[in-house]
Amino acid sequence: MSPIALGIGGTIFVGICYGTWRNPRLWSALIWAFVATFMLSAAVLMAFPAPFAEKAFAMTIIMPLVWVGLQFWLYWNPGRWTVTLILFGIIAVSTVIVVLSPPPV
Amino acid sequence: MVDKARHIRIYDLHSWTGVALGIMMFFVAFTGSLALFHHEVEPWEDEARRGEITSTPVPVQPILIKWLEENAQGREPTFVSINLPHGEHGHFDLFASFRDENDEFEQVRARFSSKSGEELQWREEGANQLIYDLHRDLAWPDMLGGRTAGRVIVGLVGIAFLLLILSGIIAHTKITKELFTLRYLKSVRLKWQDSHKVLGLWSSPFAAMIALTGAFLGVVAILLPLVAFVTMKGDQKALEDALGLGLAEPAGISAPMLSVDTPELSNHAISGNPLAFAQYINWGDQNSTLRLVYESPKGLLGSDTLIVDAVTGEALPDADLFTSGGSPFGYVLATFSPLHYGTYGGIALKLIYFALGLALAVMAALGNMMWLERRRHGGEGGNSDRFYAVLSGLNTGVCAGLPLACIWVLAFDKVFWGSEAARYSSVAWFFFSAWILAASFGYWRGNDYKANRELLAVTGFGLAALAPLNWIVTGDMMWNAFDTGADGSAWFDLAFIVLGASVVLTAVKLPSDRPADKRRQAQVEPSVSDFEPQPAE
Repeated sequence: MSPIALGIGGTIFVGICYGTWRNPRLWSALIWAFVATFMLSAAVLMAFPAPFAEKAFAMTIIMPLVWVGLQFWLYWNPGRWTVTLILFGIIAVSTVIVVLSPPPV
Repeated sequence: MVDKARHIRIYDLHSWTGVALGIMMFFVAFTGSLALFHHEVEPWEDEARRGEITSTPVPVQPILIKWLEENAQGREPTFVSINLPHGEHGHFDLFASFRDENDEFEQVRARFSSKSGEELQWREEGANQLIYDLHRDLAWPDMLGGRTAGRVIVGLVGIAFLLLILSGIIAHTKITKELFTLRYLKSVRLKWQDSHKVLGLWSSPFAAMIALTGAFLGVVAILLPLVAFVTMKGDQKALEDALGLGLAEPAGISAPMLSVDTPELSNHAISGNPLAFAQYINWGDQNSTLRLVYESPKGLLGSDTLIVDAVTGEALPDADLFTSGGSPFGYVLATFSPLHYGTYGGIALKLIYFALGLALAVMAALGNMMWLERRRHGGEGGNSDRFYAVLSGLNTGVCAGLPLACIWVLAFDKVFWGSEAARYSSVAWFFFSAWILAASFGYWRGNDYKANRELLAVTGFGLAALAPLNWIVTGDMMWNAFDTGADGSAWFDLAFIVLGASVVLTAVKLPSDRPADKRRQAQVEPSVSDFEPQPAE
């Protein structure tokens, strides 16, 4: 990856982190709910014991609902940081599963 | 039971999501309502598609083989597709994809008469396709990421729409009461607020279905490549193979192709539905397959599909996971597109979808209007009245200008005089220019009520004028077309006149200025005691 692309990507990442620090609910609804949904879907696709195609179709239906559910939960839960921290946990655990699991067949 | 702080958070989520995406929601809902009739309006748009469909079409296979030979120029045809006469579509449309020695692909297409077999002029896509594209992918330009990026944006609107529905229902704590509350004579704010709630709550099951299927149809465009990137370490081919979407490789041995004129193929063996579309994969090769799609206008799956060996005609197992029944979720996904576009219940269902789609558009516009009304006349918001007045003018111009731009672009396409190659780009430029002009008028007019009324009146007159314009340009008088069996265009002429008149009547009934708030007026009206002489200080 070129240094310019790394610089732009890094700046955006720092901006998102700063935004999350200032307003965790808003930035989690905009960014982290999607990342958590996506990584969770990928982890389920890799680790859940079922035929891959079946899982892929199921996840494409379920994913929008999970995504919206997480966004809604951010505003439902009274804790300012609670759901954001849970989202970070989901992202971390899912990433570990994705990295350690072999590609599905 | 929702506590007060939570209720405020959910309400804020609903309010700010709506304000941020209100105009986008209006745009997607309104263009979607028009896009429902994408196929039905084709005979109105293109006079070459009018006329009765022959019950005895000429054989298409000799035409196809001759046309492929003329266009091959030493290249191999890979995909070869045929649209057969069905519904309002009375011609053979042929499509082929040729691959040269550098693995570069070229798409060619042609249209032939099903009565005489002679080649007809191909009319490029125009206003009808533009409106469909605006709904599906915003006709997003290539230099900004192309149609995939546009599709993702529309998909994200679907996600936001789902969030709005969920937060809207939770925010309304007295749903059963609000379902039946419509206070039209109290104040502007209550009138709009009740209309927004009633439209939203009654249409919420339909809205949720449209939002979910729309989000899927849009977001899935990026989802599969991204999932491939993560799960298959970036290998798209491995993902296609895992999903059973990979194509068979050609054997490299030439073989004659099974003809789609074969009588046994013309109707589905079980449903009896007519053959509408056929596609050869690996044309002319021993490993070629023929996919036959039979029209199923009232089926939720949209079509009956049959896969056969294109050399022997032997039926092959359906590898399409969406329709094969091999995956229940595949079946569910296959219903999403018919559910979203309302193609499973004939024209009556589409008219219901049209009304509900317009209700969603009006609800989105009302949400914006309420937000602005609260700030201009309700004491909310921290900005100047001038700021909110500008926003309000733009909101009126953009929302009321969109239907007008859609009508104008249909008229422009009807009288388009340039080359066919420039048709689509010309109508796109015309559409956006017309919309910007209408939006500017809304801002410039300085009175939202007058601007809305005038834009609506011009839209109504324009809509009604489409019928005589069609008559003048094509010479097809609508009354002559009824009872001929080829009246698709005439029904649209009639609908344009009736709808246009209704829109003009609505515009006439709308107020020219903001109605006085009776409750507030009563509070500020001076009482007799105000005029009583007061003692000097």
